[in-house]
Amino acid sequence: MWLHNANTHAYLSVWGSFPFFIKICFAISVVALAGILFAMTSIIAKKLAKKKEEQRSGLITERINEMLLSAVVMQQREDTGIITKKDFDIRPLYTLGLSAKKVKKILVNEMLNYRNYFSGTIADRVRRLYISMSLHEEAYARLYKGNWEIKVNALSELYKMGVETDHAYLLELLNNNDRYIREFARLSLMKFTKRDPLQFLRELNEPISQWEEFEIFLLFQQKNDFTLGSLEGLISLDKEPTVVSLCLQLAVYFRQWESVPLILELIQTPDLKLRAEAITALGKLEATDSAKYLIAIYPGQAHVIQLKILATLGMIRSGSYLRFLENEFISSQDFEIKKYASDAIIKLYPLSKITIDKLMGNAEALNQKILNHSLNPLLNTL
Amino acid sequence: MKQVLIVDKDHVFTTTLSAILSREDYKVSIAKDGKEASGALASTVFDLVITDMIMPYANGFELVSNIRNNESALHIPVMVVSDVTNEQNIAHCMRAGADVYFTKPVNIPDLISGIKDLIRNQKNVAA
Repeated sequence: MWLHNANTHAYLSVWGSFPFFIKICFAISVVALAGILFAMTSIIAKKLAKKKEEQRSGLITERINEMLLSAVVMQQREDTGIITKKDFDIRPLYTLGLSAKKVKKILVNEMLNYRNYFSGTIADRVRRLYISMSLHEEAYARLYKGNWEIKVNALSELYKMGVETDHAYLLELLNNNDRYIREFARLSLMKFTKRDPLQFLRELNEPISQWEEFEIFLLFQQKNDFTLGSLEGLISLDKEPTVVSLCLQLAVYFRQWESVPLILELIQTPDLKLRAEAITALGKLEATDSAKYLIAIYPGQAHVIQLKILATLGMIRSGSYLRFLENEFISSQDFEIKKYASDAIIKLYPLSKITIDKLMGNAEALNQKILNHSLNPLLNTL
Repeated sequence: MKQVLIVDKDHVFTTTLSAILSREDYKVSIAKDGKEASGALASTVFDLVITDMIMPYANGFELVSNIRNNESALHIPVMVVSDVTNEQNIAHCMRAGADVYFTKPVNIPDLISGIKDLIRNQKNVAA
């Protein structure tokens, strides 16, 4: 005890002899070291906990997949409504170290995967199972929560599961401040309402994102017994360009030749991107009558539009303007114009057989190289 | 028993399809990417390859091109099952040598009849 006190006194006297700023520096170093140690320990602990959780969720995912595989895929019975909560008991999974909420989240994610990959009976069975397990009611409950992220996830889940949501509430969400909520509400309404889905596009005054454009397009593609109505007022100079762009794609997909006059009018737009899309749509629709108009406007167009016109003439395949393409190929000094004209000529084969033979025989080295390039199906830009 | 190689990075898709095809009396092998698929193709003679488009290491397009440029695998029918719906990509893939292209979500009865057609046609060509 005496020795201990003597040592303490010795340390204190040494400490006392240090200048004040050394004492401050020492104290700061000790605090910093302790902080680093604490941070490192908590990082390691969190990583270990995360790894453990990942292992547990991996195991649960595997079990859930096995259960889904036997209940949904390997089920030989045709009756898709047969799977009930009793047949698909996930309660034993709650003992594997994750909360019931997390287990259900994994189950819903796997169900969504099934619906992303498979349609028909499998997708329908998954949907019925989702409903019989009352998972849709839990999603409804989340839909009314304040947090936008929770709302978007719930909307997305119900939409992808093909479960209808309260229309009145969805209409309310159309005016939500959050863009993502508005997008999902719009998609859900388009999917489930009996109202003409184009009406939603008519009422839309804001740009649509690429993602929403893709989803709407898929929705129209997958709607059973769906006939695309008139696109008048939608393929228009006054409409939001992103909506017009989507409608051009729909016109092409549904082969709506009645839209050709609307598309020709749209070519007057100052928006070069939209003008290019309109010209391409004419090509994809193989609108033969539009070729004359395209050639008439060709000289005054921007370079990028001229390329689109050349490509479109190749797609239209009327062959009436072969001489124009040949002239552009021979006389233009612009490499890209030559290449696009050459691609269009090749695309017009067999109508262009004589022209191709003539050009291959007489053309200078560069032009021959371009033609050979266009003749390679793996390299043709059209 | 006909041998089918499924090449897809997604576990749910491969295990489900594998279970369905096994039930239909096919012997199924699974590869996670184009690189693994090339290894499997070098060691086994398959009657059909079902591949995704977007995969690590070698994508579906590269895999199809490799199969069509490989004399020993040239005859194997290739079916692409992918969520890529862009028509240019589909055309590109078909030009590279794919025999048929399905977009996800896929309907199992359609897929199975496509598989049967491809294997039957291959048998006819071989005969």
